[in-house]
Amino acid sequence: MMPYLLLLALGLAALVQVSLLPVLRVAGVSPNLTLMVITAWALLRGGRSAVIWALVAGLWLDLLSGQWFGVYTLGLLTAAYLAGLASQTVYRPSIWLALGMAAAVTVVQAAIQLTLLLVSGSVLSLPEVALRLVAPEIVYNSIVMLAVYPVLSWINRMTGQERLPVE
Amino acid sequence: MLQRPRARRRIRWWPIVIVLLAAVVVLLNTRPIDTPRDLAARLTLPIQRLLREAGNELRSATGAVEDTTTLREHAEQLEKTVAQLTVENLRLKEVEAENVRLRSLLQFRDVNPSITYKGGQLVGRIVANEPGNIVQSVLIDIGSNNGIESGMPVVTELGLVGRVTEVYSNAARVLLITDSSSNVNTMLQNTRLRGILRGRAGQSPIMDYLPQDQPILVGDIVVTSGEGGRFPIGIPVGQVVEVEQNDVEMFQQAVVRTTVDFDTLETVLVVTNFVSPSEQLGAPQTEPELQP
Repeated sequence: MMPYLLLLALGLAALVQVSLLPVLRVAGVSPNLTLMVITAWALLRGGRSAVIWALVAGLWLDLLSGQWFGVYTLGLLTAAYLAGLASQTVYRPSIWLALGMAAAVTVVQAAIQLTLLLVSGSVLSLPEVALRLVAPEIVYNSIVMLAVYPVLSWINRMTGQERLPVE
Repeated sequence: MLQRPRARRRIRWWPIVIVLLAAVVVLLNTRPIDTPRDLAARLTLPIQRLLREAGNELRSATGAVEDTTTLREHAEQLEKTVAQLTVENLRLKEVEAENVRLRSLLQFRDVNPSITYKGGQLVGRIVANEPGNIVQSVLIDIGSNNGIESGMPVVTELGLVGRVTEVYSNAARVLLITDSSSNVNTMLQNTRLRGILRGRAGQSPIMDYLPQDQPILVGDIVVTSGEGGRFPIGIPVGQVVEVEQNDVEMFQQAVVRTTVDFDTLETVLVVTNFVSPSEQLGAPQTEPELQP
């Protein structure tokens, strides 16, 4: 895989996340595709490889969003770091670990955004946000992880013997 | 022996990267970075449009596979609604005709936003949302090239959607009234009671700062009050579905169900010729465009 291909692939994932997935909302919530991709890759390949992906995908999301520039990059880098740490604690990552991490990084990503919103003066009811937005997103992201993890696992197996050019 | 220090180094530089990035984020956010976003919007808009259309088609297709019983019940309900609305429509036509006649008699020349906003509007298609679920804003496919400016009100035929917050050359970002940072001056249509509609993340918006001693009923219609000069007066916003009253509070609140369904929103109208009263005081007097 060439670096520019990775750039385009993650760009496409970001575009799908902002343009296509919001149309398929369930209970007002859409999944976070890029977050799941980065988390799964960090589990499979370690945080060091995933941080490049996180940086590229995060910048794409920040360019496509209207929020403070860097919010999504920060969230994805944190997710890559946490999933990288988790991958070091186990002998071999599994789908169960991936599902657990999907929930954890969803909470962390939401916490980062909520912190920034609260700092900027927005009035938020944290229990309501947790119940109505974060909890359904955990479920939705877990479903996406069930699809993403096997695909990335296959890519990892195909490219596993050789390190990716961007690592 | 040799691998240990390498492993330690690997772990240590991660937090440093995150901290550095956080610092960069803070520095970058001291001023808006619109140029890269403008470029990104220009490059990706056709793809976003395609993806959105594909999503809309997919939603339509899945929506068509409904239960027959539900459809029958829905049809019966709609027939009743049509009958009611026909009567209502006739009554409103009468009122409208009377209204037009009275205005011409009074030689009404002041800006009446509820009329002028019908004269200047641009249709924009929604091509993207925010990547996350907490912030509620959308990207539309018209921008400064089409005459869009920051602050312009955005509506649909059903009611208020929000306002333009960022403008790129071929796209614009609209902050929805459901966003937690959105505040809109509103009033209850029948009692003219004023309040502020605040968006809430994950919940229906709430109309706040309503005096305790005033009666508010479920079903009351909420419209824009025009105060503050951000929105024209009289745009429908929603309907009161719940009143939250607490004796120890200074104000009561009303939960509002918006007239616009933001989950299925596809196209919006940007009001391009709305002039707020404060702007109009400073500007030379012009003839308002009255359109029946």
